Amino acid sequence: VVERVVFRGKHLAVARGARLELFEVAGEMLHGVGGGEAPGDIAALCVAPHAPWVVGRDAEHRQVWWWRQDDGVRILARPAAARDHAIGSLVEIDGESFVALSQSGRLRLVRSDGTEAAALVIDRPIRWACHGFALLPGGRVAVLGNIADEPTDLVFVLPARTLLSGPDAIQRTLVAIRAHDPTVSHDRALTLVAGPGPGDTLVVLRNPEAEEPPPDPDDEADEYPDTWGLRGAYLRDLTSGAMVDRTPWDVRFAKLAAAAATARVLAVEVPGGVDVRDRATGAVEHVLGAALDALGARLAIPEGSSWRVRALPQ
Amino acid sequence: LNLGRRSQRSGLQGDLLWGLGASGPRQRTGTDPHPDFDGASAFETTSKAEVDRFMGIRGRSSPKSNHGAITRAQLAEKGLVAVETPSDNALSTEAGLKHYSIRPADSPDPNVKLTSEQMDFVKAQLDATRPVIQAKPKDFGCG
Repeated sequence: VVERVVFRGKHLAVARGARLELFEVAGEMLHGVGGGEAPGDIAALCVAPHAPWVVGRDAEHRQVWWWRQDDGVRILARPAAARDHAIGSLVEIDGESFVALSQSGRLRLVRSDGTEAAALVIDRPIRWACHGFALLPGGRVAVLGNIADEPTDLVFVLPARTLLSGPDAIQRTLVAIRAHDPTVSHDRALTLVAGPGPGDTLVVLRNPEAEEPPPDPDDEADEYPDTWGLRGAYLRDLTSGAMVDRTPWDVRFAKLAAAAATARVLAVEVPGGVDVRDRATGAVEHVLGAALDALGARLAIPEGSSWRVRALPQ
Repeated sequence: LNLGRRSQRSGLQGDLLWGLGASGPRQRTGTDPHPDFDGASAFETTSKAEVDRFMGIRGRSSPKSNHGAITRAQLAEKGLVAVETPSDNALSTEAGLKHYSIRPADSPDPNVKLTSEQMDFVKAQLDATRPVIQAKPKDFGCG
């Protein structure tokens, strides 16, 4: 049975098959606070940082559901047609958690009481599949997903409250990216994840595989993005847009893995745990079985039937 | 045009299936947050004029990126088939190119979701298929 673990803020969710367990931070430990059964084997899940609230789905995207400690499982979405499927995630805006459902050309943000806070257009003029979100410093959010038919994923950064500013909030940003608007921090790669960095920075881990060969000798260097050809991690200042660190790193991570950086380390979830890389020496520690709370810059490490919290070096 | 020797040999007049990356069409599998349940996306060109339109659209967003194209004969060798499916990508809505979904030859109906195993099969077969052409929009003066 595959185990999946997600750690955000106060909460850590563990899925084994269809079984879900929720843990809550208490001092240096996490203690079990409840659990339940999902409608099927859990293939992906998100947990709200400040509420006992989990969103998940099965491998075939047959249904997206939420689980809450007080009222159990509720089905949120099922495919509307043979070629349709939903993706569910959670996003924090001004301290409030919203379920984000990407399906049938809309990204719906749903409050914990089940009411719809926003319905963003994600099919025209650009069709977008929203995979998930990573919270960033300064009330910003990194939005991860892909444009239809593209092999690469795309991440871009928005003030989180922009998601509630009108139905065209995502489209405005996608159109700006297409027009090479330098004010929108974004990146493309076959695999990429993002998270908070130290101060007012974003950390991105990316693997372009063979999509970014060395620039042609007759091209000017500034004709290429500053990320071109990088397999590894970089930090970008979210105020100036400048790349402030660039680290080639052959690390194997999955899509939607949590990632974070501090002044001293880079950290990313990898199969079987978290890799923590010392930014000065390059030494990598694999923390077996751990999960990463990116915004809190800390790990949850299994200890018997519970979990222990360990802060990343600052 | 600076398309490289392989592309010069092959030319641009034939029936080509383009992916939106250097390797040609690629399959998002069941581990992806957004799997290609209907198959791997490809856009067809049958003439130099259509390739020009393809590159014109791609030049807006990815002028320096290579794009790879494969042929139906290559698909057949790998047990795959391309079936026409709708797309609202600008390549279809503006450039008028047909969109195809690449699927196992024994499961051609795009309204039938591919299983995880079938998506893995399509990915493996496409990964083992070398593009007959690789070209960048800037080679066509686009972007």
